[in-house]
Amino acid sequence: MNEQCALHFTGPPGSEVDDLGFRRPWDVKLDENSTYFKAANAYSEFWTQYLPTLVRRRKRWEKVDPRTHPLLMQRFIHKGVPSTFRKEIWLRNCPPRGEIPSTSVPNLVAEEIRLDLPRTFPDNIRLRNTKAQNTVGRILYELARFVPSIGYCQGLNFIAALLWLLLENEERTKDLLIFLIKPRSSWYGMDMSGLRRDMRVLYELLRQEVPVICSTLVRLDVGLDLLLGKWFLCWFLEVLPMETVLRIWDCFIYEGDVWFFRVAIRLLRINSIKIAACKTMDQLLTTIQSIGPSKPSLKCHLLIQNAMSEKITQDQVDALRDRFSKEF
Amino acid sequence: MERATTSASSEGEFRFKVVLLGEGAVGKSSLMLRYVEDKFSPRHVSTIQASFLSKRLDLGDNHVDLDIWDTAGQEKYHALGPIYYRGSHGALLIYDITDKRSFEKVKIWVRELQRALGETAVLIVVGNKLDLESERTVDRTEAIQYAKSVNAEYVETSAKENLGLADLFEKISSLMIDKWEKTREISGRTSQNSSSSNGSRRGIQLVDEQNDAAQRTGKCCK
Repeated sequence: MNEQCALHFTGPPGSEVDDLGFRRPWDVKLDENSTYFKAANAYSEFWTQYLPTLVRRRKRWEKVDPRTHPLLMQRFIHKGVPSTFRKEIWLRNCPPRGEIPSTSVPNLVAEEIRLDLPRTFPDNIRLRNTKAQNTVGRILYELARFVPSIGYCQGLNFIAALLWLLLENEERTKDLLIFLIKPRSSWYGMDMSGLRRDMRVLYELLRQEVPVICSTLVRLDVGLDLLLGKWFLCWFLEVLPMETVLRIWDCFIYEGDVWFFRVAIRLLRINSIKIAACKTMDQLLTTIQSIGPSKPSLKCHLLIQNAMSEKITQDQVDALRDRFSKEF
Repeated sequence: MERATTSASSEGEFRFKVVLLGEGAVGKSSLMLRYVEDKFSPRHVSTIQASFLSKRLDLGDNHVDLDIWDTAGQEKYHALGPIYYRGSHGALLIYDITDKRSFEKVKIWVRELQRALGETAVLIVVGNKLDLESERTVDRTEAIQYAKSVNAEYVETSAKENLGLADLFEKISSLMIDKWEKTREISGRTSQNSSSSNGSRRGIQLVDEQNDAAQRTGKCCK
């Protein structure tokens, strides 16, 4: 459904395949009748604007080396980690995963993982062969061993695959995946209680920040978990364009999941007039689904900058989590 | 028990919610995409949580807007389950004719839906992947008998070959119209129109937003 936008492709408009192995979804020569025509144009326009930023950031990283000063590092990360540094920065605080637990993985879990392997980024040329798919399978299997309360949850396949495509190292991907998922295991567990709690937290923040969203939800009798569960479960993967996802993950991995709340609130704020104008549930759903392929979602640099101006802190999120944890 | 809330806004105009349920990889997303956008991709992508499309169709003098909900196949998402099928007028319970286990899963879903929705929703059991007839492991007669036993209709389709899909959605639409009209007759007799009682229920909810929001979140989330 999102194929009318460049959901995965992050390369220059003229290249066939990007650094991560995602194919450009359209031909170079596009006629006006193609369903991709608008998307391809929007992408080229975005790319032309974004390229100087990428070049400038890379030069700054090479010259200044922010790794020695925490405050500088924070600022540099908000402005985007250049792809040449990303591997190292993402793994920077990630410890090895430790001793393999003696727990065994149930057959059903292995079966569920296996079922999703060919259905994970089929547009990625590096994931087309069985060998690569099995690697992603082993990564997910390792997570199931280390976090038995999750086993496997659909959506994790995309997270695991993207981490592996980026890190290009199976063992370190296992480390990082387990490191990032473990603190959020209740999002992916049997009753998804952590996810439901965090949707309650988001609702509370929205009540202060963008109250019109909440009144619309009440009016149409719909909950946030239905509308936005996927945004959090997959850390915006398969919702926002890939470059935007990478920029969000830069911030999230370095600073914490407050970034999911900041980005969600900002996206809803940008669309609040459209959302408030929805008269029916289906209009609301269509409006929410259209946020992913929209231009503000593609303009990642601006989006991150604006999300930063949402004055929500990790402490605030954690305090609200404590407050609502009893309900779930 | 959840009640179906939407119905006819004016004579001959209907809006219905239909939910697609079934085990992973039986073809739920393919079925929806083929019907709504006439697309089929051999490169399937697993669905996270749920996705939504709507489609308008004409049935004689009636115009029907279908809100179609596609859901993730994994059992875990049942924790968020009621929020998908809440208020559904119809459900397609889909299995893969080459996969016996997916047929067994349909039976679990039927029980769950009957518990949650009672008799308010139209159920159709759908055997998909008819293009793989030679590999069939679920007997057609058995499936038909099962559907009958739970008061559901039975249809076979192929999203790949575009077989049976238009018929399927027309069938569920006309069954939902029938059901709605029957409900209207009954509620007319008891002089309590269901849509107006729902309307007033919503009106009450609007009075106290905060309180309601907290309750509602609690309710959706069990």
